Amino acid sequence: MKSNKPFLKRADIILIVIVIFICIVLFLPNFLNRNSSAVAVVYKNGKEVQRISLDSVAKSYEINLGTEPANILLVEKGRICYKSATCHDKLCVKQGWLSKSGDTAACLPSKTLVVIEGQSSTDEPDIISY
Amino acid sequence: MGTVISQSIYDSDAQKIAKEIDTEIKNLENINLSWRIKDSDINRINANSGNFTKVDDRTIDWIKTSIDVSKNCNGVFDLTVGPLIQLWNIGSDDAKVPTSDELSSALKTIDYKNVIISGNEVKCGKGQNLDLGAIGKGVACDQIANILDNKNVKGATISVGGSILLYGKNPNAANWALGIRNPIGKADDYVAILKLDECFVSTSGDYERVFEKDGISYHHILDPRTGYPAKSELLSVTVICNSGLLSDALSTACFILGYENSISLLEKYDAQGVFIDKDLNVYVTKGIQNRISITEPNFKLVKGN
Repeated sequence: MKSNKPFLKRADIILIVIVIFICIVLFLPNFLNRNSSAVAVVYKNGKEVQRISLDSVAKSYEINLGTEPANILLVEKGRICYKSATCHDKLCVKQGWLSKSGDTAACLPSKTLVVIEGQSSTDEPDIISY
Repeated sequence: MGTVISQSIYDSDAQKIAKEIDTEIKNLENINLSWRIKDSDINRINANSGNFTKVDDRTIDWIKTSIDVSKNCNGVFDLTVGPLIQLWNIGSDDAKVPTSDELSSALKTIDYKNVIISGNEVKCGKGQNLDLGAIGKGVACDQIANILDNKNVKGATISVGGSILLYGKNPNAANWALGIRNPIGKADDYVAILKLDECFVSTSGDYERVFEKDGISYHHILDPRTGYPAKSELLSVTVICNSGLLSDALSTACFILGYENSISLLEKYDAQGVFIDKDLNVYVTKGIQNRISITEPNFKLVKGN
């Protein structure tokens, strides 16, 4: 039997539009935040040893963390990774590139850690010099 | 010091620490720095000019560093500028334009080379007058940093009359965001934001403590070579380094020297600078060129060397 009800009712369409709208509102901040530049913070034995503003990296370079097992970091514009490690499981290298705020990679045997911190957006200064 | 002090301390004991800082700054003024306060170190040295006066170890250190800066900038910053400051008295109700006779006799007394340190004693030449007003706020920032060190505070922003201490780490972001005042705007307006780690910052500008007479406005940064407010191509200079005293002294010297002549001076002290000239060009030294963003469209960023 053929139904002459429309496939979508008016209320359905309104619901779908509302759901899409909510999705956009929820995800918008994520996209906007992409513009803020990231800072890679490198820790050794739980102590911060280096802070790299990834956006201002002009030419890629390597950092030897001087640990045992050995860790080599590779820094490029906007991202950083463990390039190689002499540790057993190499989980740190498998973690791949870190670029977004919150991205983390660690090498437990050599007690090193790399965390990406988001740089605050440039809207408001903390204090003004005059 | 007749200055506004503002503090944001990120610590559970913030209020207690803030109180301690207030006390410390009052002590600094009374014991060490102010020439206005009887029995302060500076006052006693001046009253006893021509002879050695025993003072606090810290006062000795600050005078030593001041003399060092004077040497490196050929005396455009000079701690014996006291008589000139008192003659103009800019910032008080009695500010006036001195006569040329008054100026020339004040200028005769100015020469940092006549200040002699021996152990914990200081002597300035007969009739000389020390004035550490140009570094007082920076010194206060240095002392505050010591207090914060002792309390293991994680992060704090301190302003002593516009001289800034960015201490430790910002708990809310990767860096501190420092605004540089708009030299042609209102007090709260800024033209650029610098992303900085722990450091001291000082700005010298011709908008601070201005006094007007017969339609001419006179600012407070006096050039010890001419006796008049410095004729600079700049509206303001901001200096960033690892000492409050130095950032204060250098920003004064750089304002008088102008952009080109300041570069080598800043390099000597491993300091960075932001220079805003009258055409609204913003010159930035190498070390902080990727940390600055201009927030006012009238101002143009010029990456210097």
